[in-house]
Amino acid sequence: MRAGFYPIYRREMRSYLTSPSVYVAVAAYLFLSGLFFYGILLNFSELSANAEYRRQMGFEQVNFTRHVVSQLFWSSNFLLLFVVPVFTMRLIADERRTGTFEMLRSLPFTDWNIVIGKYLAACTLVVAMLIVNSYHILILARFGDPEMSVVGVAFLGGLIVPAAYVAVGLFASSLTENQIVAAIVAFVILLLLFLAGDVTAPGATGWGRLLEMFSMRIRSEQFTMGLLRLEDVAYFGVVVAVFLFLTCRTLELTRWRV
Amino acid sequence: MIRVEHLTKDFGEVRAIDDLSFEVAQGEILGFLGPNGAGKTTTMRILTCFFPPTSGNASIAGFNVLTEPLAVRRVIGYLPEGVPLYRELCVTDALDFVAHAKGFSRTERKKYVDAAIEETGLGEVRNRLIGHLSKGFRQRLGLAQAIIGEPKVLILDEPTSGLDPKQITEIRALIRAMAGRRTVILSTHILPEVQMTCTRVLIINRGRIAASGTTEHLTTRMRGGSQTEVTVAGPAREVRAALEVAPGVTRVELRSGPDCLDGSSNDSDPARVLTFLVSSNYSPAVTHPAIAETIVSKGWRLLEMRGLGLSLEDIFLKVVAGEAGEQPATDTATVEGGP
Repeated sequence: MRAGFYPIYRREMRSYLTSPSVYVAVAAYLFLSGLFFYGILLNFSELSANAEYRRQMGFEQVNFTRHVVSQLFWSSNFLLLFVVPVFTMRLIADERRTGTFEMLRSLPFTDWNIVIGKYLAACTLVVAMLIVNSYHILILARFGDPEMSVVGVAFLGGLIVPAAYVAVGLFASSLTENQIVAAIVAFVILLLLFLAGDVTAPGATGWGRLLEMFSMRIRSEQFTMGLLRLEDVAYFGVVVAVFLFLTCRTLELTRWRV
Repeated sequence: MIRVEHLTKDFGEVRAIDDLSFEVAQGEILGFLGPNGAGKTTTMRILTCFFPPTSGNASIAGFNVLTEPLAVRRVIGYLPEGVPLYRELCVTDALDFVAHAKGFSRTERKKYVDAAIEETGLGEVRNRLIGHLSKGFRQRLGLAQAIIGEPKVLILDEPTSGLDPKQITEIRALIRAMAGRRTVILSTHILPEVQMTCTRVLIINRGRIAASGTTEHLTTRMRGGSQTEVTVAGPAREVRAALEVAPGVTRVELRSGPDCLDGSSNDSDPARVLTFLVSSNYSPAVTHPAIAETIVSKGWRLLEMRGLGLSLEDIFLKVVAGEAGEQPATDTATVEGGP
C-alpha cells in the first residue's frame, strides 16, 4: 500500500519535460560545453604546434589527457554550478508558492519520500544531460588517444560532483517560496563550497588546510585528473546526505511554523 | 468517522481555534460555516495532518492524526482552498499522480482515474493541460483529485468559491450526490450552500463552536415558526386585519405599497398591490394554506406567496453577533433564503 517516493519522482520528471526554463538551461549547457570543447581543442593544437619549442625550453610537456580530457571535465563541473540551481530552484519553492505543497502534504508521503523523489528526479535530468553531452568523449576517443582510465574516473566524478550540487539546490529550494531566491541561494552556497580552498595560500596549515578539505573545486579536480580517492567520494556523499537531511528538517520546520 | 477532541491551535500570539470538539458520523455531510478567519481552514489542515494542533486530538476512521498521519492521509481526500494544481500536467496525469501516491497499482489507477473523470464530468478535457483549463474545470479537477480512490472521508475547503452560478450549482449537486456514500466536511462562508448541500451544520466563530445541528433543527431552535412574504391585491387595512387573525400568525408587517396605511382614502382601494411580511408560530406547511384561504375567502387576489422560513443567514448573524455581545439585527428577513 506504500507508494514511497516513486510517484513524486515520476511527477517531477513529467514537470521537467514541460518546463521551459529547463529546456533553456539544458540548451545553454550543451552550447557552452561545446564552446569549451572547441576552445580546449584549439588551445591543445596550438600547444602541440609549439611542442618542440616547449621541450627545448624545459616547459611542461603537452599531454593529451591532461590538456584535453581533464580540462573538458573540469569545464563541465564548472558549468553545472550555474545550471543545476536552475534545475532545482522550483522543486519545493514553487510547490509552496502555488499551494500544491498543501495537497502533497495531504497525500500519504513522508518528508523523506518527497525529498528523495525530487532529488532523484533532478539527478536523472542532470545525468541525462551529461549522457547527451558525452559525444565529446566519443569524438576524443575516435580521433585522439586519451587514457581511458582517466576518462572513466573523470566521467564518474562528473556524475558524483553534480549529485552534490543537486542536494544543495534542493535544500535552497526548501528555504523559500521564491524560485529566483532559491536559485541565488543555491548558487551562493555552491560557490562558497567550490571556492573554499581558494582563499588560502598553497600549503596552508590549520584553518587554511581545513578550508581546503572542504573545497569542492580541489576535490573535484582529483576526479578530472583521473584520481579516484575514497575520501573524495566520501566527501561528496557526505555533502549529499547533509543537505538532504537539512531539506527534510526544513520541511518539518515549516510544518510547525506555517 | 471523524472525531475532534479539544483541539486548539495557536499561531504565535493568535489563537486560531480554541478547544474545538465535534464528531461526524459515517455518511454525513457536515457544513463548516463561519466568517473568514473563524478557523475553518486551520481545523481542516489539522485533520489532513498538514500541521499538528497545539493541543487536543483528532482522529479519522480510527486513525490518530498525530501518531498515524500516513494512515489518515490514505483514507482522506482533500480539496485545499483555492484548488492548487500542477499546471504543467494534463488532467489524467494529475489524477494518476494522486492515485499513485495513494499506493494503487497501474490497473487500479486507470479504473479510479476513469471513475473520477466520469463522476466530475471532466471527459472532454481529460487530455488538456491544467494550465489551460477554465476555473470551473479546475475546481472539478480538484474535486476529482479528492475523490480518487474512493476515500472514506472528503475534506473540501470552500469548494465553490470563485465559480459562476451555474458551476456552483453543478459542484453542489456533485457533493450532494455523495451523501450517504462518503463522509464529507465542507467549509464555506456562503450560507445557502450549507442549506443546499449539508445534512448537518457547525457554525464556528473565532475558533469556537457557536452552534451546531441539522439545518432544520437550527432554524426552529433559533427562530421558531416561519416567515412568509405575501403579495396581495386588496384594501390595505382590511387585508392586514384579516391576516392578523389567521391561525398562528404573530405579526404582520407591511413591506411595500404606496402611502402605507396612512389613513387616506386609498387604504381601502381594492386594487392596490401590497406586500406583507407575515410571521407565524407554525411551520410553512400550516401557515401557507391558512394565509391563502384567508385571502381567497375574502375575494381578494393572492399574487404571490414566498416562504422565508429557512434562513440560516438569520441564525448565523444571531450567533455571530451574539458572540460579539451585540444584539442581533432585528430585520434580516429581506435576504432570500427560500427554497
